[in-house]
Amino acid sequence: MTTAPLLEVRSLVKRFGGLQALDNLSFEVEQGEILGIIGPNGAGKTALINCVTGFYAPNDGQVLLRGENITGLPVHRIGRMGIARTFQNIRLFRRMSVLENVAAVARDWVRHPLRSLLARSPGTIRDQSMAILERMRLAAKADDLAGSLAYGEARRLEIARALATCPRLLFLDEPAAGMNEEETEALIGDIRGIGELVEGVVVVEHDIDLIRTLSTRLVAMNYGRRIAQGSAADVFADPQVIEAYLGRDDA
Amino acid sequence: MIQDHLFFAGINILLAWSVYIILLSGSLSFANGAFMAMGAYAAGVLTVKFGLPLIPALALAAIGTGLAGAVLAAPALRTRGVYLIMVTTGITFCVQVLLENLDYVGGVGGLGGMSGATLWHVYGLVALVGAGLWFLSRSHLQRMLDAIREDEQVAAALGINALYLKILCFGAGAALAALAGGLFAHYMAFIRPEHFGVLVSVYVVLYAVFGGVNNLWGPMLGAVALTLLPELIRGLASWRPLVFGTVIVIMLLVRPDGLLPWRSLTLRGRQR
Repeated sequence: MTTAPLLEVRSLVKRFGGLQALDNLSFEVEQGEILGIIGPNGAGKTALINCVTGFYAPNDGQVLLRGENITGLPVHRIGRMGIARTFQNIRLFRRMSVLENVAAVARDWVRHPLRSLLARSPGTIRDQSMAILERMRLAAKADDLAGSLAYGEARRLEIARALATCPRLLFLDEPAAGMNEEETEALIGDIRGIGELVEGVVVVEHDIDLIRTLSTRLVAMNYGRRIAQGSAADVFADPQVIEAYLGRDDA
Repeated sequence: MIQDHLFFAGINILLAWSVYIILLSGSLSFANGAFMAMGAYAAGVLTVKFGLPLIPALALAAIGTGLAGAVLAAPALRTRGVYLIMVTTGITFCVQVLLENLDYVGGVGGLGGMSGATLWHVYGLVALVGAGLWFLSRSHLQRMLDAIREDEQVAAALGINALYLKILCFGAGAALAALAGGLFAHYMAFIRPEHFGVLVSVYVVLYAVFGGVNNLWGPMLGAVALTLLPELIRGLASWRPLVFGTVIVIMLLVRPDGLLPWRSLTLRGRQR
């Protein structure tokens, strides 16, 4: 018996008016993989995440999680099925504490909101949430307001919050954006650690160094299409990728 | 006289909380005057025309209005912000006009013959609802509602069924407004559609916002303060509304988050 890949994206199409954000895009995420997705601005990377997580309804194509068609399901259903994400433009629950940000989406209770009203064991959720915060080096900030965090911390809290849902597949949308070299270095370690918790990670990133060190495989996009895939060495040697990043050499 | 003020203060606390419950999930409702009317008329019809005792009549009116609120919420909550305010205001207009044209409940002339609501009923209910809201504020459910209020899309992306919880809050708020309406009807003995106009919906929201909507004490304080304030400045005669309005404007300029603005944490890290 063959097992279906963790995630399979089949000829996904997304149009905004005349703009083709995703043009017949296909790729797979395999078990245990940290897949990097690169591409210049406007290549459709975030549109891809939005289509997979249900924020956008694709015009055509399918998204399959372990062989199950999840295309067009409501956002919260996709979240519960095990796809979690972070946001490029950090979207924390700013007026809640760091710990509450993580605890609010704890997997055990989001499915049973009314039963949670009667549950009297905040201890378990606190311990689980604190463990996640420790993993993301945020435990000391647990009772601070999320809105008061520094930039790098806020990015890490986004990841911690996504982990609280116990995802199978984690999408990170430019996790290192705005971070300095030192912070990025530490983040790479964090993401590697997460790779052991979840079945797969997809990192969408501009920072070529980060993606080169981190990902086990790469998909390169431009104009909503896949232009190359494979190992980092192969993809960065690909003439189409070089052209997309550096422009055509007309000289 | 004193008893009247106490009674209406209690009713207004319940109404302010009915707005607060809906606001917990991030929706601002200007339909609570309509839900109050539905509760008042439903309970009134049940006691006057069907001879039901007060408490069962109130319970049935609350359940019915709660369900109606949830049914209305399903399409209404597809809109947000200013549009939701317009839709819910529209509900208030519709219900008032509907009641004015419904001869079965007396039309513009009104419905009479209700009796039996006492201060005990009102403050018993205030205590009960207050305890429930306090219990909620310490629960995990409130944390999920807070997340929806902060960013509904993100909450949904992480598995919270935001629309369901918003509809649930809307229904619960409608039911509570109906209870307040039912008690109001059985204290006043006579009700007319004009008792439940748009202004009521606006006032109720004002109570909640004036007191602060980040904890359950804010709406309570806001309701009491704004019910009693007009009485305190009775000597100003026809200048009262002007003073009343000015107080609200100054207050929202100075303390935009209400009198009691804090939000208490629902969970704290390990003791250090």
